[in-house]
Amino acid sequence: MPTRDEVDVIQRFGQRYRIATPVTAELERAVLGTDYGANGYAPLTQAEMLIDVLALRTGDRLLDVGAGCGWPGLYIATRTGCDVVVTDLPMPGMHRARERIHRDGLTASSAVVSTARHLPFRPGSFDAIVHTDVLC
Amino acid sequence: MTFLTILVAPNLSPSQHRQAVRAGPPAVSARHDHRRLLCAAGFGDIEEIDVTADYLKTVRAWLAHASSREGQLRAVMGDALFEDRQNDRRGQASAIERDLLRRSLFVARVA
Repeated sequence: MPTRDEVDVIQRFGQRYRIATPVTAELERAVLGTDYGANGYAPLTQAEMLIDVLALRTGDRLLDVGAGCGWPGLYIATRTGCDVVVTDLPMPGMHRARERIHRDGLTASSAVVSTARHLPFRPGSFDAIVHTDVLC
Repeated sequence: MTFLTILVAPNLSPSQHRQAVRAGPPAVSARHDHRRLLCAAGFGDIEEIDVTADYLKTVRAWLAHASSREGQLRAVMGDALFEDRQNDRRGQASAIERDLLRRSLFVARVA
């Protein structure tokens, strides 16, 4: 049963992730330097910082919690060769993430609709966890 | 684990704290600081890297670019969502400029 905050996230961000138009894509490229449907405050430079800190290698397993449309987890997977599972509550975001996984050929990565409170993974399933603007 | 987050600046007066919470994203008003939360969850070796300057640059860029495409964005987002987002960004930019909000990259390892 989702909490009131989770229902708010599903409605608020679901509405945003449904909007995929040339003008929003142009804005995202200009502001964040990305093309993942991101609309927050984590630009490409900060995704590169995450990559430096995580030092992931091919075959490592990364969990990105609250990934929206897959940013930055899918980018990190493309750059490092790691396998990523991106999770979030709004279905439209995870739908776009699945399309991106398919388009980028990230065959060992996946997108899962899930609350961060009860992640459906066994302990020790991942080598690293990342999240951007989930705790704020 | 590593994460990026927006947080209320430390050592603010009660009035400044309220202003920061009002201007920040909905969950910015954490009861405990992030180091304490990480320690409680079993993480240690915690490092915090300040990226507030980059945060202000990003917020200003959203404001400027969205304003320059206002007509097109109102058409696809609707007036209410466009104005909400721009008002959020104005509030955040002002709060960052007044040192009320910060942005950090946290790195922590299982202790």
